[in-house]
Amino acid sequence: MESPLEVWETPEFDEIAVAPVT
Amino acid sequence: MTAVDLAAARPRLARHVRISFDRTRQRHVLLHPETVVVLNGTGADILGLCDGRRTVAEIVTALTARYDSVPEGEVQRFLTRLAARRCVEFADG
Repeated sequence: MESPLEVWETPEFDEIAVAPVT
Repeated sequence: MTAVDLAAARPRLARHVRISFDRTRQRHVLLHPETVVVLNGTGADILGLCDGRRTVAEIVTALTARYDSVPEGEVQRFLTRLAARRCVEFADG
């Protein structure tokens, strides 16, 4: 039996400025 | 780059960027020298397919195996916005 497809969400991102921590 | 050009482009993460899973946020993140970019689930799935070999159109096709509908324009806009932040690069198709 096929697994149900997931509901698509609009791809998003949040940018967080950090000290060059990365 | 037009939408037609973009569909044939082959996106990949920029050299100085890496994808990682942030256990605290329970989200995938892009680690960039001066920023952390927190991704939602579909964003992480898109970037997981950006290997510099697949075209944007092929990435959309691959995502349709998992999601009920995948608007190509949303994928293109997402990648274009990340390219503007130098997190993603496009190789020509």
